[in-house]
Amino acid sequence: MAAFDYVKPPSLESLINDYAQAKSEGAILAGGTDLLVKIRSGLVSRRVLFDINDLHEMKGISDEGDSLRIGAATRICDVADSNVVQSTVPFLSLAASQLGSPQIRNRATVGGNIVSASPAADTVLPLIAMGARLRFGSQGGNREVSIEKFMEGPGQTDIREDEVLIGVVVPKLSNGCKSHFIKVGRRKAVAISVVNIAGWIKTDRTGVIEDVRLVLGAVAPTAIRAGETETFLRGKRPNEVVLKEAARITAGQSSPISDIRGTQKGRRLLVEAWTFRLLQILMTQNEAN
Amino acid sequence: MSHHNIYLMVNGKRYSLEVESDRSLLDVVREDLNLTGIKKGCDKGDCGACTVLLNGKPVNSCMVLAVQADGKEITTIEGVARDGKLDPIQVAFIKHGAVQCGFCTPGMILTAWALLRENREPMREEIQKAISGNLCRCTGYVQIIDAIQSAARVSRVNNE
Ligand SMILES: Cc1cc2nc3c(=O)[nH]c(=O)nc-3n(C[C@H](O)[C@H](O)[C@H](O)COP(=O)(O)OP(=O)(O)OC[C@H]3O[C@@H](n4cnc5c(N)ncnc54)[C@H](O)[C@@H]3O)c2cc1C
Ligand code: FES
Ligand code: FES
Repeated sequence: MAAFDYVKPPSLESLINDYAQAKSEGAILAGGTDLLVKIRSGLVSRRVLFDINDLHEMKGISDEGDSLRIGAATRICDVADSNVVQSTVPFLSLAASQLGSPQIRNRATVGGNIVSASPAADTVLPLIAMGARLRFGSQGGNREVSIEKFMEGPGQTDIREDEVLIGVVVPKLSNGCKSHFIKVGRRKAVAISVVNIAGWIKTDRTGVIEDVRLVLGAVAPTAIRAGETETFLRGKRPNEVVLKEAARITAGQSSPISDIRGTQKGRRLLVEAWTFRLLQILMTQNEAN
Repeated sequence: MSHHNIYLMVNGKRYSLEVESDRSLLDVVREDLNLTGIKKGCDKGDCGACTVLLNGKPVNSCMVLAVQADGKEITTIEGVARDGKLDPIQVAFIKHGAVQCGFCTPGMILTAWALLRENREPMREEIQKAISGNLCRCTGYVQIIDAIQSAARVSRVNNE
């Protein structure tokens, strides 16, 4: 007997209805790069999978003026290659282009990356840094929640049993902001990050930092904003001493665990070194990069 | 439903089959279609030995359900040679000693094929990035990258 049944709902509406009916016995199948591995290894078992791959209501990237709307079933490769993402939220495209391998990116989706809630999930960092909002649909209606609030722990989120993630609303970077993403992996590809960092910075005409966001992945139960670093940097004129101090403060905010991918002390040092590098790149980058 | 009637266009040939919902494209192509060029290494997306082109793009066939490929075009290593003639990439792999045990080779060649279709003149780093999802335990990759670069050169000359 097959381990699970497979259903391909013809529309978002029928997906929402069928999924609600299946209760905890159902799962959404997007790229399957997370779910199928978990099912095969016995970590997860479900009676029925609902395939959302061809639901046009959940696919594609649209420009909505001040923000982008990205359908949950949009593939990571399409986010990486998208012109509008590259020009308005460049570090999201950068993060997408470094997720897994080409084969993984050709299947994996943004929605799957978010809902699987790995503390190292690459696209989640720039999405948190941009204050992205998640749109869910269910029989009870739609709900919107900020991605930062949504993430609760490794594999744990605020998603309700009958909810489907429809898409993500991502504010565009405002003019004069610079953004960057760095991923430090154990191996070149196909490695979940040891540490990943995303950030953007906005300086005024005199070179003083007006605003900044810094998000760290893989060093805490969820990706986290380095709030103390942001506060420290605001209103400062960046130079080597300031950036070094910012990097030191950042390392103090991470609570990494030791695991097969790296030791705790090693990770703190990595955070410090790579935060410094990221800030340096942000300060020397040409605009709109 | 746990059984599905599907059809696959594999290497230009149409196959109609009945599959169970939980079977991977990898297993169905190897066991039901008897196309054993693609290999099962890890069965979890790590090694790329199971790479096929799905509507022209390299994917790990261990992570696609056969039923999800219904109606789609699939290219396996068996579809790369044309009219009994090896593809320039295959020739280059042999010439450059890029095949040792051969387990990674079918996936590696399909990935390279997809790369060269989009980028006729890839730099070494671009090749490295493109094959980053295809593990090879034998060669250390240098011969493979050499082979892909030389195949790109040969194809450019042939097309001029
Ligand atoms: C070899 C390998 C390398 C990897 N490397 C990386 C990496 O470098 N960086 C990284 O971040 N991740 C990596 N991953 C993890 C995974 O590929 C990504 O998280 C991917 O984005 C998951 O997307 P998916 O569409 O494949 O998700 P799926 O496996 O389809 O789904 C994941 C989970 O989310 C749920 N879900 C999916 N879509 C929705 C929706 N619209 N609404 C509600 N629930 C939904 C599913 O039910 C499931 O629980 C890797 C995985 C593998 C196998
Ligand atoms: S067998 Fe599919 S990636 Fe290893
Ligand atoms: S030749 Fe043996 S794994 Fe590549």
